[in-house]
Amino acid sequence: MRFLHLLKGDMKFQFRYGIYFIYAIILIVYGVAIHMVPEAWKYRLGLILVYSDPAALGMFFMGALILLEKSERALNSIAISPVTVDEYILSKLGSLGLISTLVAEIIALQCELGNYIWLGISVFFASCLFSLLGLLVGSLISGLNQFVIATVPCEILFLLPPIVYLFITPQKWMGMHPGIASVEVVMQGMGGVANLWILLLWVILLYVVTRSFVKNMFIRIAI
Amino acid sequence: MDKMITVNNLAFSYTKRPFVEDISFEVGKGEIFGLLGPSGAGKSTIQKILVGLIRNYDGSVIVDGVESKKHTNAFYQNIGVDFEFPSLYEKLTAKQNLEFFGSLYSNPLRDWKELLEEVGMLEAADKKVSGFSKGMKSRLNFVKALLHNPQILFLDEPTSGLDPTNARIMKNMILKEREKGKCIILTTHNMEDATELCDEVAFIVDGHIKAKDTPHNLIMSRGAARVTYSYLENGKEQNRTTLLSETGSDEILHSLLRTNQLRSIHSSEPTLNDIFMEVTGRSLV
Ligand SMILES: Nc1ncnc2c1ncn2[C@@H]1O[C@H](COP(=O)(O)OP(=O)(O)OP(=O)(O)O)[C@@H](O)[C@H]1O
Ligand SMILES: [Mg+2]
Repeated sequence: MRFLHLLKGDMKFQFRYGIYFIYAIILIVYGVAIHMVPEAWKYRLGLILVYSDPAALGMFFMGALILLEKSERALNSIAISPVTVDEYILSKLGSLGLISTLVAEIIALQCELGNYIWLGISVFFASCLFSLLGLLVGSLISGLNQFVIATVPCEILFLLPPIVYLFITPQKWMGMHPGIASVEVVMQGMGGVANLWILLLWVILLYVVTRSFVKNMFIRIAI
Repeated sequence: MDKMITVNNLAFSYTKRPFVEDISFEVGKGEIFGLLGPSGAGKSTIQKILVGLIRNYDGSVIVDGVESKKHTNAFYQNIGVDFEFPSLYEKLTAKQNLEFFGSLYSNPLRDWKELLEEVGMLEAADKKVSGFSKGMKSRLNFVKALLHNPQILFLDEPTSGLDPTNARIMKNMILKEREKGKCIILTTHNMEDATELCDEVAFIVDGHIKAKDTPHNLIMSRGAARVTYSYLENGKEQNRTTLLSETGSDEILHSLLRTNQLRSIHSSEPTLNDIFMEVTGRSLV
């Protein structure tokens, strides 16, 4: 019950702080771009947009939310409430994951990517991965500028490889990368289900690490 | 057992150097316990231990029947914290903030309308917090701490930033909570508030309790009341102070009294701040 309230609250803040609005704008811009490119490019562009939407944006939005909660000290109120660290993280992942997945599906439909169910699952987990990265960095940092700088290596490590992957000869081992695993699921659907496990493994690993950082962030709040 | 908080031989430090040491006190239902001390004394640190945010302490800290380091999350159902600084979502309205934070607790909630009304903020319920003045944010923060009807309240400088009328209203509300049997920990630099509200205060300096007693006892046992008077001498105003217990031997005062030459006279008890300085050698404010 508490978790649902938390989730509802998170979605409300995301709405109030304009994140849904930004997503709406992005959908319009992407929509125009998709209709302007040659038919032959559509598929690859679609893959890139679908993947970079939870990735580049999700991580950034998550960081912005955490920094806001820190600077407004709403985090303090949560830290001394019955909300657990797990509930806190999962609510953030769930709320951002839902909107990311929705946006990705709309883009996918426009590009006729197919495999929509697998795509949704893949994007949701990819969104969790990047949200966790944003949460991890956000838990350590308090300024927006520092945050932007700190996310650059994360974007290079996690966002770039799957994009490059679309333009080179694929090798099997590359599928160990969480981003490439995610893109493979989108491309292969059911056939790429092994990649989904790899992605999930990454999410769980990162969850464990991020959890300890968030716990520390709760402890450090000023009282 | 009506003790809500029992602290025994508490010790803790952020570093290798000893910091908080040898802290023991008890707070019962319907009692207000004041933590007074200069900045950096360790008041917040002690509160963080009490609310279970710091767990690697030594000694024993029983809060609401639970050893604080072993608490589960249900522990927080019964704790309310009024932070020194606003801890609210600025882009949400007062009402939305209260609804959200209230929804995180499973206790029956108090009527937020009544509480806002009491602090004089009902008209502002649907306005965004970002547009509030400092005092309005303080009042909303206070209401938020009471909303889930916790039995233990931590109030950190609750009246700071409030005008005298609103400070009075809030102090009355705090006293009402005490009457209802709440256990309250008050941290403040405001000696008048502490004297008026606290059943017991502890002077904290460098992580140690330097004195602990009722404000009345501290003032009466340590300090001495004084008489200050003024008069004209060669056209210039002079001030003199003498202990109330020694007025009988103050010849100047006597002659001034006999010749109706006093311009002013008043007695003053030492304030808690005077006592604090006397006991700890440091100023509070
Ligand atoms: N997380 C931390 N890590 C290391 N040192 C800390 C930490 N938090 C506080 N301190 C140090 O512990 C000391 C006590 O701080 P504390 O916040 O308990 O003081 P305080 O009595 O609440 O002061 P104030 O009246 O300013 O609120 C300070 O010297 C502070 O620098
Ligand atoms: Mg403090």
